[in-house]
Amino acid sequence: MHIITTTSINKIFRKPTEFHALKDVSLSIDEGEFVSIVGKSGCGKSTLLYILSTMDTDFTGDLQMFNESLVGKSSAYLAHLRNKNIGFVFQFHYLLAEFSALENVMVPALKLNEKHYETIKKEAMEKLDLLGLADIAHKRANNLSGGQQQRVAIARALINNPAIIIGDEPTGNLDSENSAIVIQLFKTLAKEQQQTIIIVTHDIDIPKVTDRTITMSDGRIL
Amino acid sequence: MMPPRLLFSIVKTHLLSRKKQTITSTAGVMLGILMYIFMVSFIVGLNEYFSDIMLAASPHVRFYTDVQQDSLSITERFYKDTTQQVFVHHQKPKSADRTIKKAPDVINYLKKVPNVIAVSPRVSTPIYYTMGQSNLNGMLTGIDINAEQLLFQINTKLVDGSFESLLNSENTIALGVSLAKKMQVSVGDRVLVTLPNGVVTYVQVGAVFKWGMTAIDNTQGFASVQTVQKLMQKNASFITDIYLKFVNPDEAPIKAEEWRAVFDETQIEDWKSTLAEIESTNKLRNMITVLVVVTLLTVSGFGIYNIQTMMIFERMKDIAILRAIGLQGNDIRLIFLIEALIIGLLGSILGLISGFLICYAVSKIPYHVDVVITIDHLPIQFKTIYYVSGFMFGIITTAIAGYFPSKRASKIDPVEIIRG
Repeated sequence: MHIITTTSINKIFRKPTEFHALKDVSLSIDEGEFVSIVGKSGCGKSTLLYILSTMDTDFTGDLQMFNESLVGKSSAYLAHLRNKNIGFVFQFHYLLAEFSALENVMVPALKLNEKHYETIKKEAMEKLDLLGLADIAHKRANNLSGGQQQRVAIARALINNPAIIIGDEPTGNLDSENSAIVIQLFKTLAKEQQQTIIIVTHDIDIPKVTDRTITMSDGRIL
Repeated sequence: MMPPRLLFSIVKTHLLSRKKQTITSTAGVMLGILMYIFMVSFIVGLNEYFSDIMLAASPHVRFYTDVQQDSLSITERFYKDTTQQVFVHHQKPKSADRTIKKAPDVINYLKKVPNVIAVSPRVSTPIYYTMGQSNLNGMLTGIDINAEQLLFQINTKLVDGSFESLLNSENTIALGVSLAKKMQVSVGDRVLVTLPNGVVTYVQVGAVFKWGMTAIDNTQGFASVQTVQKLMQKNASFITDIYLKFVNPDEAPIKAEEWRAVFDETQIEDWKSTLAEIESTNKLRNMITVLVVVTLLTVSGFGIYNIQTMMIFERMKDIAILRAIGLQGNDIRLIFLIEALIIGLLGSILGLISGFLICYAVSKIPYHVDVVITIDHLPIQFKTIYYVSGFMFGIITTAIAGYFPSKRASKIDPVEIIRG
């Protein structure tokens, strides 16, 4: 079953100069599929990722998620969709600097407000533990190393058990050992919990273990 | 809407992790509210104290006779119907007494009016107090001690001697405290006085009083009505003024209007017209207060606006993350608006407390003034309404100052920031 379908997506940047970033991108991704997107810098990988994450709504074409078109939906609707169904790991890990690692992980679940505070806290600890971060849970985010921050961001993406996890170079700051742990974790999630995982990567080893590799060049899928 | 628990944990973290900014904006609001409380308490206190003392020192209704110019001279009346032109140069007023016509009847009539506290007939004349080679200008007023006690509580203004002594013996007077000091006389001493009719005589000082108004304490002398009538060589029906007060001051202007029709040969003045002048200066002072306060609050409002705008720029990344993980634009707006309101709430409460403390301290500091009125400490008003309105001002200003930056924060596009 397709969980995400795009039909002829075109994205044009007007500023600073006109630039056609995505050209007729059509693709379908199945539930529980682990997909990697590769390509040279500037080929439109990240741009596509932001459109798939529903944050960027300034494009032409159609984006469907759960067999429903998201074109023209209100920003409040999309915000709720992101909160509940999409976990996002940014390229530069982006944590709330003044909050502890644990608080960072808890925020999406607190916003979703479907569980008790204590339950959320327990689950957030479990996610941190899964990534080997239990001992730094109460440290402030800006006191953590780059690798630790990135893993906290991954834990945060997992907290609401979203149907889709999207990562922009989620292992870019990790050593090979931690990188392997994260990739293994993603594989398990895809297989056992049918979570769909889409990651952009430059790491040549990752595409070898993913279910499918999408290669992009000059705004097109090859 | 995000759950309150998340909202407040974000707000708390923001406020506590940038303590310096939080303190600066809170202090701005605090200062504005503090100044508001102090200015209003002080200016209004001064105004009301001033009005009260003027009202207490003046009767609710005053009857007196003015020196009147006849509009038509006898000559003009005589030649009224002819075509000849008549000029009268330097027409002099009719030689008329300054007495109120049929004063005893008027007094008896007024005494029967219900709700009148007391009716006090007065005989007033300019006088010279002679002291060695120099003469001091002053006023001597014959008063009814008992009625004046009811009207103005003159016994509370006594410094030395007693007002009863004015009744007990003739040619005894009470002097204003500054006047007595100038002449270096005290109770028991004798003073030489000269009246406009040429009478020169010694009078004895029976009492010294302090009215609290410089103009009175500097020039005024009191004696019994009989003493002044005798000095002026007038009979017992000679009365220049009649003072009276009502239980309810608001009755005075209405009654005065009625009486103007009845006693058409007498001038009748009520306290509203007497105080009109004071009221207009009070209004001016109040206007200045309002202007200063609005300026202060605007300045602190701009302070909050600036700091909020700056904070939002510094937190662009945070806003982008929060949007990416599913917070809505409205949630972001709420976060920054609540932050502004907490600053406003905190600043207002601190402003109210410190404003009260400063008002209290100032009201206890001795401060001596002897111009127009005599006070020994600054009259500060403590009224709940100032504190309630100060609080409201603080909250409204910060709400407005926080609204626009927070609206801007809610419009930030997360993709632009994350893309870098």
